[in-house]
Amino acid sequence: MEWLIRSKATPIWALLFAATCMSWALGTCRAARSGVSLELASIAVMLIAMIKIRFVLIHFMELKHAPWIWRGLFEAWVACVSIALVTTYLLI
Amino acid sequence: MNPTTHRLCAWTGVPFIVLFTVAMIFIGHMVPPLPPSWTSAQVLDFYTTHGLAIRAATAIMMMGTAFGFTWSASVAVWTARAEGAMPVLSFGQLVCAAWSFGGIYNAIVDFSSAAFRAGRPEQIVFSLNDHGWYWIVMPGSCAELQCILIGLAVLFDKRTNPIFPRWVGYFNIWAGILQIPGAMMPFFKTGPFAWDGLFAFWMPLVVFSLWIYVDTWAVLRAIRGEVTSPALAETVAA
Amino acid sequence: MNERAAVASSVAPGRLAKVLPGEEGVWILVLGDMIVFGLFFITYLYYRAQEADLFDRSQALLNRDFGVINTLLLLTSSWFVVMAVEAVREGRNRRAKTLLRLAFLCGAGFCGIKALEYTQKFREGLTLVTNDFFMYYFMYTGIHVLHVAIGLGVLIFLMHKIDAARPQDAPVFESGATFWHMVDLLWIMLFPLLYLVR
Repeated sequence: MEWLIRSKATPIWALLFAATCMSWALGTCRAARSGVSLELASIAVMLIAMIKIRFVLIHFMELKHAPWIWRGLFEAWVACVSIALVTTYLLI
Repeated sequence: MNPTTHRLCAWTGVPFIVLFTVAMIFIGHMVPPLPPSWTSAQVLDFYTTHGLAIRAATAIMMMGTAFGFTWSASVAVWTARAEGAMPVLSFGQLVCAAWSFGGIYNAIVDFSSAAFRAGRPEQIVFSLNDHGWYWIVMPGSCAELQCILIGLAVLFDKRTNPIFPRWVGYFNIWAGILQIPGAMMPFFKTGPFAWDGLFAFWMPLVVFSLWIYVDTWAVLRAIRGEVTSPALAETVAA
Repeated sequence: MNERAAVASSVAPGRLAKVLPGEEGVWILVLGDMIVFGLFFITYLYYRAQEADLFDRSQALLNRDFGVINTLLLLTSSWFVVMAVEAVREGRNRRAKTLLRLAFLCGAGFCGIKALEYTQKFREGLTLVTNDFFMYYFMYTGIHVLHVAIGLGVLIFLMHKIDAARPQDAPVFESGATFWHMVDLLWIMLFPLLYLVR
């Protein structure tokens, strides 16, 4: 079973697992939070999700070793959607 | 195989798109679609004001729709070639095409009848309008299956020199999946999933047009391949 | 296209030259789907802003625990799938099959919890026409679960192929894996957007 621990995917999975739990805590914690913190928590939760997605793209889907054009397209997706989401959330 | 007739049929995708674009957008004022949230009075007003334009637009659309059939045939013939004997996916495609494009005939007839007689009762015009838009937007399942069957036929082509490049197969599957939200339009009168919405109308419209361009390109490429090196086209992978 | 697998059977994956795993066509499908879902996400936030209060109140009715469990399930299934592909490259078919089965179980678990969630909502009288929030909730999670179902079909296909697979066949598994990871990453954003963002 040591291959389970030795796999390069395992630390990534552990990180994503932790990030999920962190998002959950951020998104649900209500105790004595003012309105501003709620906005910050929401943005944080969305950005954490984008970082997780990027990890899946680069490491699980191995874009790290892909031709730059493909990596570029997906990095661009991450960047554009992140910006669009935060902008829409804040401005509209 | 007569490359000229094949090319003719493949190119009929273009008059289909052009005639529909001109008719629906510029003549008939039908794009953007009439909102499903409109009242019967607003709909009656639209058909009264634009009655002549709508009848002209629908006449043009009627002439253009049949090109969808010849175009679908041009694709099916080549996926049949890729399938080999007893091309079930291609036959399925043709039946789906009959309803994907044929369904539009029903919409055209509804829109045209709504504009046919001045002084028609409001509720009848309202109903014909609903009916027309239902035919345009809801039968996504036929277009979807036609796309997916093309995709499957392309992906199952095991030749060393496949008739279509494999990405075309995946593209067709993607295009098919995106036609599905149209089926949900009966639940909504506003929002992105209503018949005038971003995801039930605009996205399928864009994808549908892209699909016609991509598949036309793929068919023309297949025809060219057959003309230049017919022996290769017969090769089947071990 | 098979060059990657050929190299992989002799070299550790980390040192490979720039190659796209699996078939290029799958990546076109993935990119296309991600663009559409990106649109889904942005559209949701835009319309949410018009009725923020209603959306927040409706969101409170969602079961966040189910949402988190589902996220962890898909994440774990992706982990299994990555290791399954690694195993195929190394010619360890039995291990790959076990991992694919585990990934399938996680995916099936996701669907089971979704079914539970939907049933709960229906019992409370909440459907996709209840209000705008629930329209987005049911439509988006519904379209996503459709993708999960397709992904499960892909996994079944891979489990069918694994017994006779050689390391050179890795691209088939890489293609399937790519689609599955997409299903995972779409939910990674869908969950916080629908369940957490206020």
